Amino acid sequence: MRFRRLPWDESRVLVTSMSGDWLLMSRADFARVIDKDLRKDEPLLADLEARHLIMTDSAACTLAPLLSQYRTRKSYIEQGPKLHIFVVSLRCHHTCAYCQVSRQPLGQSQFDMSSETAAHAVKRLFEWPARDLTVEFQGGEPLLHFGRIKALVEAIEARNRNEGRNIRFVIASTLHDLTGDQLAFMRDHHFDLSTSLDGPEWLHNANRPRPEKDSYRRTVEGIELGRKVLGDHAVSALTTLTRRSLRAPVEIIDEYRKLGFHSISLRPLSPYGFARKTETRNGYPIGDFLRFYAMALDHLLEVNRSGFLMEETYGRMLLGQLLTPFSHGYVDLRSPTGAGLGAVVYDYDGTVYPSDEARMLASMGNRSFALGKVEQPVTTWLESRAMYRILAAGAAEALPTCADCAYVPLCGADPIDHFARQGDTIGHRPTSDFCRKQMGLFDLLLERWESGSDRDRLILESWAHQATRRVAQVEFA
Amino acid sequence: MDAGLFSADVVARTAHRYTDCFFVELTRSDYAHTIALTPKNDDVDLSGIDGRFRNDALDERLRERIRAETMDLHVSLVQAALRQAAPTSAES
Repeated sequence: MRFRRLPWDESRVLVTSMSGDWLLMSRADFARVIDKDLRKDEPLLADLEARHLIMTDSAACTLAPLLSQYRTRKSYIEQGPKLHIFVVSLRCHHTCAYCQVSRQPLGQSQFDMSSETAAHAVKRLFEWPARDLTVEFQGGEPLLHFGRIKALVEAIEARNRNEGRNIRFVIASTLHDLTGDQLAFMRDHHFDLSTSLDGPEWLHNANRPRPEKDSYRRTVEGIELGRKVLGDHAVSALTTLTRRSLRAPVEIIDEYRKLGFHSISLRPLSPYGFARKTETRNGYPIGDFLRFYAMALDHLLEVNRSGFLMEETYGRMLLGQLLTPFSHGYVDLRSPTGAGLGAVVYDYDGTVYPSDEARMLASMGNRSFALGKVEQPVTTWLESRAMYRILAAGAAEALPTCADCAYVPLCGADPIDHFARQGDTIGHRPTSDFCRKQMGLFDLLLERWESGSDRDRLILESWAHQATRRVAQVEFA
Repeated sequence: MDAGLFSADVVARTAHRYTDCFFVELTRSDYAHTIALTPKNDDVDLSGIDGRFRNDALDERLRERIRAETMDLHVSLVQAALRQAAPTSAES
């Protein structure tokens, strides 16, 4: 049992069980719980027992439901990585100041994945035990090396005729220069498209410059084309928030609504790649992001109340943790960490990483989180020094401060992010942006859920249940 | 702070939460803990710092009691729950 004073009402506490069940109560009542002063006929006592927060009679109580809840919450660790990212090229036609992967110019084909590397990566993919695999093609701009994507898909499907896995293909792309032939191939192989849309035209073009200043128009055209051929459900978009984005929460959400999106991902900047180099210009304190998110959440609730259903994906994940007993595959919210245990990245040059963030660090010159090469078997990667280092800091329940946090049964560990921000995989929680973001968003969502109208509660609960319905879907870090 | 009421561990855990904005020095005599918090910069909010620290220390004291009562059970439960999650072999 862990507890936390509510920031919006210090006379009350959030109390959580090891499996993430929870209750809000007055601090005075909580003190009576600890002092074992509750009467046997008090409703609070029954409530606490029902949520496995206390056990009054060890002889009469069974712990089986708690064990079952805990297993359900941690079920993601049973099958190994489900998300497999293939970086087919680092080339890109954009010059985004916050690019996290240190893209390369269009003519530099030495930054494309070779056929030999691709063949090894396919072999490795099937060494993992997961029945459900998501294969995501990333870049740079992956469409610039579409021939490799086609060859990979064909090789994976050929191998899968004997394997019988459930495989889903995704491309993370700007969708610029998308062709009819590419879309026909994607339709035949049931692809989903994930693109970046930072908001209205002025903001998107400022964040994602092209020499022609037409980035927004090309992205919107790509979205429309993709929807036409693959269906509305197959195209999703996410935002990256620069400092100028923080002034426009309403405009960003209204842009997504205008384009018919029922989902939006509001992602703060990450400290990698070109984003690190331009941090002074584009960066901001995490407190500014939290204030932005609170305004965005209020507007999203208003949009939903008006009848247009729209969710924020990270909020959906956190609400899924808070309001349902189920786990999901979101890499940031796993303990043990999702790095290497939930996701694997096969880079263009055959290097293998436990997460996209590890690849981004490598592109900045720090390759210490590389697991190995595609020519090596998976067991070699799992025995690597990098994996040991990640696992040593990968269980949130064992990290300083996290160990006592009421949100830890619902939260995750991110050793690579802490290394990138603080130079240490374990990290210093009182100054951790990861921790401030997670705690800030959990607090905000719980407060809005508790103090909101019945209508707002229903909206937030519907997001939570969406999260559990999408267990098998990949969530992008 | 009264060393009879607050253990050194509780004081250290409480003080650790203040290391974002303060440099911390802890000393102890037979009867009391002394905590020196030095702001890292001029913008640090010092209002009610004494009371905040004492309240946080009380929370840590409660956590210490909970840990003492439930730690063994907690460890046993986690071991029992995750025993089945140990990797066996690839299904391929």
